Amino acid sequence: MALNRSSLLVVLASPVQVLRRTAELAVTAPFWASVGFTLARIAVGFFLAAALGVLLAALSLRFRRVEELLAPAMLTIRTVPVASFIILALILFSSRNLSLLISFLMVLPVIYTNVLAGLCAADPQLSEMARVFRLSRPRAARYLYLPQVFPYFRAACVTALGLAWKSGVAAEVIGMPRGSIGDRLQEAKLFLDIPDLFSWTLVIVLASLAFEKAVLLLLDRGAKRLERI
Amino acid sequence: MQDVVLDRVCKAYGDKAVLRSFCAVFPAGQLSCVMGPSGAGKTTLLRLLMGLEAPDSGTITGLEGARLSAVFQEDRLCGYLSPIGNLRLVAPALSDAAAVGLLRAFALRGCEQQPCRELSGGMLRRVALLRALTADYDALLLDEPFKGLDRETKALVMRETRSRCAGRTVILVTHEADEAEAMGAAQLVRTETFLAC
Repeated sequence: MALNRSSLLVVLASPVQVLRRTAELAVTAPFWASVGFTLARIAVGFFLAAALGVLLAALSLRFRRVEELLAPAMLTIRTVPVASFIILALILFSSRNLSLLISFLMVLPVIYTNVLAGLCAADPQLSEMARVFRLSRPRAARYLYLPQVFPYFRAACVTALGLAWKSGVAAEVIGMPRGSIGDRLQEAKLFLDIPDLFSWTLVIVLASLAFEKAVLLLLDRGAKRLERI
Repeated sequence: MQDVVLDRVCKAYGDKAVLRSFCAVFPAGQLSCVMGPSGAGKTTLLRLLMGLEAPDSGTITGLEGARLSAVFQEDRLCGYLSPIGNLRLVAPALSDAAAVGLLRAFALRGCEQQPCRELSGGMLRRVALLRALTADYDALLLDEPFKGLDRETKALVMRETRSRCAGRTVILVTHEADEAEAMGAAQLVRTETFLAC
């Protein structure tokens, strides 16, 4: 069955249409409320997971038991479909902070695995040097391990940031917390409002890019400070 | 600080014995030199003294609780830190002016703030040696600390090193006889004695 031009415009929207719709949306207060709602939850989920991931990786390096305990848990989180987590979370909790929980779950194993790999790859010669010179643990962590692990952490953040947004918004589409970006996408689907759907997609892409840039900028600023002693 | 005494120390890697019933005394407050060709086990001996390896049998006494400082076979510096940063890592109280003075004494100028990963091999070696001399130590273990230096720099660095560690317990590993002489080694241990029996 061939689609003619006008029927194509029902399932697709022209770029001009999308941009115009985005501009219309961008001047309304509910638009920014939705962006803020989703951004806040995904950001909190991301930062919590990043912090916990680093902490758990450090503990795993220090205590083998922790690593053994965490390995199957991380594998489970990585392999269970995100949709299953979303539905489970919807049954157990409300949908309001669903995207926070889901982005947290997606980010945690990525950060944990990469930081642990970075710690394990740390130069043993420098560790010996620290031992011989009796550098204190915090000092060795700050000046020897942190700079070595940082590139791993940064790479993990790049991957995890994209994941956090994709999974966070997917969770909102399913859970439809009132006023979220996912809720707006679901609405667009219900009304077959293709320009809206594309506009919100564009907004998600832009918001996730902006968030990624901001986080990386912060990280790289921090990295500069690492070089001071 | 007591003498460092090795009593019938054995160390082997697989089938290859490096030390067999090796006995030696490194007197406190003096510079001893361990001489021998590459591959004879000099670095292994230092690793045992540093406590990075345990002897298969025998005992090492005199270093219990001692603060150690060392130049390793490799430089083992933090590449992202400047020479001053690397010195301060082991000597937190070191002031900028004092650090610059130390670097100058070793003919290191203009690289004070540069990350170490950008420095040449000979410069890195000198920073590694300075780090060892700057740390608070009771015993100093040096693994070919002058390698990769040109003749003139080496003479300067040996002179400076000798004066800075005078009266301290130093164990210097080298395969060059003139280094032992220039450093005024009070005692010479040859690697032939590693496999005593």
